[in-house]
Amino acid sequence: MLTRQGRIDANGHPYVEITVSADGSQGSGLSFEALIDTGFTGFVSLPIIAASTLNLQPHTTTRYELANGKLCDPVPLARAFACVSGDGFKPGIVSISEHASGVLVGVEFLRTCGKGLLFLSTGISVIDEEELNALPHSPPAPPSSS
Amino acid sequence: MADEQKSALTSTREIAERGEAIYKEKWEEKLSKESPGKFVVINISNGDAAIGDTSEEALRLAQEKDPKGYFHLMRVGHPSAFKAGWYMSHAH
Repeated sequence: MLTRQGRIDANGHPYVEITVSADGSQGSGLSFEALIDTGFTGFVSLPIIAASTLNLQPHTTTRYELANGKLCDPVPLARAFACVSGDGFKPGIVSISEHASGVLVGVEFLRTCGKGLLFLSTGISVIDEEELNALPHSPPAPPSSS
Repeated sequence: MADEQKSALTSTREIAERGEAIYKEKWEEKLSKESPGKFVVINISNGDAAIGDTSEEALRLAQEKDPKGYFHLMRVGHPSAFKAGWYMSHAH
């Protein structure tokens, strides 16, 4: 079963446990409870102290377009590996945040890991896309005769 | 000033500004026509560009050419490589 359960905090934000590794070797890395930010188009964002603990080596910079349309100050990036905890690692670009204290995953993480996100009344489920595609599809409802 | 004496923030800003200048001077016109929407990684040492459908692909190609290089990531035709969500926007 490839479904992973997450939680929704008091503010309605969804979280899932992820593992991040510098080299992607089996059993390596650190686990974090990450906020799933569907407005973030990147892979993973880590606070600088977590990136240092993982010994990530930043070698690249980029800027983000913020919600107000402005560009942020340059952000350091490192290539690394991440996954929903329990799955196999996938390569991606990790942003190293000098300002944020939490770990974020964006839509690039969901896409790279082949995951779908379901919001439920009791929490969230992060589901492998192959499972979603295997679900029987309901036929479309017939048009109303009224 | 030796590299190790520079603050991380200063180095990050210098790399980004150099990469943006190289992109504007050397690549923007050409890539805007040929590769709209692609991710582009600029090597700030030699001005080379690596292009990919994903940011990870572009950066992997750039690092294969120059494993010790420093790079700046952009997206052709977009103001930035990525959009920040509400949470990240309020941390910056």
